[in-house]
Amino acid sequence: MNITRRHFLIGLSIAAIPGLSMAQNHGDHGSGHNGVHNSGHANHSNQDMGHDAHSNHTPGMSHGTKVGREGRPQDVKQTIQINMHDQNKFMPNRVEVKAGETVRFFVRNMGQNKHEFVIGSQQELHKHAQMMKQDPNMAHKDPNMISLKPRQRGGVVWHFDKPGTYYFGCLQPGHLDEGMIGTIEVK
Amino acid sequence: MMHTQISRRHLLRSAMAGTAAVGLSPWVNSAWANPKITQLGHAPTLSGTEIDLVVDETLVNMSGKDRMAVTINGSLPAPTLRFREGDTVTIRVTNRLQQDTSIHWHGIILPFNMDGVPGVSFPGIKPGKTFTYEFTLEQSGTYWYHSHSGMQEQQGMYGAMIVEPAMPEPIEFDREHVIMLSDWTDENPHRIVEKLKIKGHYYNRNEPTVFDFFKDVKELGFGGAMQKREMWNQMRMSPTDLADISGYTYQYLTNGTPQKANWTGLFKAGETVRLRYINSAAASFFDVRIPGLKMTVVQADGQNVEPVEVDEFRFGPGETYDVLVTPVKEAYTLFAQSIDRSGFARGTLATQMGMSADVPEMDPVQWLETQDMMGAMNHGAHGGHAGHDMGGDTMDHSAHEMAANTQTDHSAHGAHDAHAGHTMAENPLAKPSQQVRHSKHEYGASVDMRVDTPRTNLDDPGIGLRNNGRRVLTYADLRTLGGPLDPRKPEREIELHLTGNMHRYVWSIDGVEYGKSEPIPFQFGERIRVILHNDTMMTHPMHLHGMWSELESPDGEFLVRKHTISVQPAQRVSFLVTADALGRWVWHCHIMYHMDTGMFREVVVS
Ligand SMILES: [Cu+2]
Ligand SMILES: [Cu+2]
Repeated sequence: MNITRRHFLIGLSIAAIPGLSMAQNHGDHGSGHNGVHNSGHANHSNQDMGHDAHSNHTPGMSHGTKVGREGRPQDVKQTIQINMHDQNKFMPNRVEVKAGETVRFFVRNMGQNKHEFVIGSQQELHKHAQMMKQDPNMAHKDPNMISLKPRQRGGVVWHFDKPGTYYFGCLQPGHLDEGMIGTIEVK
Repeated sequence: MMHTQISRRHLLRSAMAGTAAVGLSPWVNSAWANPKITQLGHAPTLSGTEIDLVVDETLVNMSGKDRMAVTINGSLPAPTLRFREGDTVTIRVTNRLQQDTSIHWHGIILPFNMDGVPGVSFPGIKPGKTFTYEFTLEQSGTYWYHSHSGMQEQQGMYGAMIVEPAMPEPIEFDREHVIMLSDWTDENPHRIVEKLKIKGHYYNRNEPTVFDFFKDVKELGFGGAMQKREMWNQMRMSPTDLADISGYTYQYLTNGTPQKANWTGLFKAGETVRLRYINSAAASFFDVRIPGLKMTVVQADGQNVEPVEVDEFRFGPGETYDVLVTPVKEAYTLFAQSIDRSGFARGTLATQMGMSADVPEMDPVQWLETQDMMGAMNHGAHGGHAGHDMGGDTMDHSAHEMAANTQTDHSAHGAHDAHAGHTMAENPLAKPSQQVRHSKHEYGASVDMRVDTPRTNLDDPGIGLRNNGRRVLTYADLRTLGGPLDPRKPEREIELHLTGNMHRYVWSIDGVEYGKSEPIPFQFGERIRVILHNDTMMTHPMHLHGMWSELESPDGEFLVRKHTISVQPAQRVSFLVTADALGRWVWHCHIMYHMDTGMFREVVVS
């Protein structure tokens, strides 16, 4: 099958695209128990595990945030879909959330480039974007973010305690500067 | 290019008989005066972004008897639709039947009201009416389409749909053929259901006889033979329940043509040929091979996979595999035996028409083995029993208690209990739960069997293919290129049991037939793990509409993205779904007779 083998080299190289590493499960704590048959696992609660607890899992560095905390899927009251485009913009780029509520951001990468959805303050996002510029291949993964390859979809479940204006941005080098940032009005 | 001369001739004769054909068909109500003749084996290709399809009854003659088929544009299979990824297509479907019809685009991601399931997606297409489907193709690969109304799929209403990738494809080939395998019956499919309800084993002629019993006595001694009989009787099952409808009513078709027509696809020596295998049977699993050729599997259910070289693969109704072959001889047989070895579909790959290669003997019928009935129960005790028969020495008395066994001793199986003391760093949903949770409805008359110790390994090719000396594809071999569609781990887990009562011929999910069931709720945007646990002795190809099913290993590692997942007897598998498609969808076994009698659920994403 030599001929066929050769034909496959292209295919294999696609499989080897970096980014698969994002699918690793460290630091992935969101776990619901609201199944049809409830999961028989011990009833872990992640209420008390702020994102800070994750920092030691992240080999690169943490892009965590002080804005709110990770939410539990079973507490989700509202789901907001956000699409990411190669023009380096989010659609929509402004959303409203009630203080004290848990929200699921359901994020889709509509483009051909890698994009990210990261929750934080404006300052945090800019600082993290700067770090990413210096080390674009830095592995990063925190509960306040999702990194998506072309066509992938994913989500972030987040709980906002206090009213205020917060942000979501893409930390891929250059994207934030070109306007890939949106606001979350918490009322 | 493709010839079906024998059936052509039959058809001509039928046509000349003219009106005499009317009334010959016991299961068609329409009053056609001049029945049109079905074109077999030459599905025309339709491409572009606007397509017209007409559903009608047309005449076929598969076995010497004139019958009416339900066809699209007079062709069986229906026209091959060729689209381009990214295109928005408009497909007008006109119904010339005297009953409602519908078309479901199998494996295609689209808005729920375009999905074509009457009563769920839309009301269906009334006689004389035209329904216009419109959707944008956001995927590429080999797919198919078929009726979702009554028994029309069994009667011939299915065709291939190929979506060309927008970006250059990693698969290179010089030539391609669609190989659509299906089953055909001259009987009225509705009558088949009635017969099955009267006696579940109606078509299973491999049932053991008194002669088998005496043979067993000779081999196992009287006690062993008795024990074997008794066990089967206790379970009210037949040891050869592999397919409930068999070659005794079916003919197996290659691109709509029976064996004798020897459908032939051409190639030039040295070419790499892509074969797009589609199982569009109503009820048959096929074991596919091409003696003398290795097949390199490059796509599963339309999704590119890391290439795997095999000699053979099994697939169930709804599944597709694309394989590459590099033929060098003049002719090869495309051989596909049904899972119960009651017959086979045959075609030929040749350098010119009219050639043929040897057709192999079918493999012997095998009885279900212990692992097919009790899952992993005997693991360890008899170690490496993969090749075991239901011989007396492997018999375990616990089998007798299987049906009566209640949820007593489950704690022992709860491997996850060990997690209790773990730190928060370990996600309790990182791996699929192994604790078996039978629904309370599984203790009613609709269920005649429950499996408490399922097997979770995916590297078993299944009954009849184990240790056959050939390299047989298994789900454990499949890896979708590029990884999962959603990098998240599951947020929750649901467990569904595939259940049935063979003798009453009812099939269900969690012991509840569709008519009595409530829709399964998904929350928009969530990532869910679905565990399918098979409490029956048959393999069920489970098809979820509207959303991909991403199969994982027992350790929770992503394997392959599919639209139809076959779950073997006593097996427990799991996959992840992202609920990214709002609306009403369905989830069902793609064996029409199981779907029709209850193994069907609605899923609502809101
Ligand atoms: Cu971006
Ligand atoms: Cu089934």
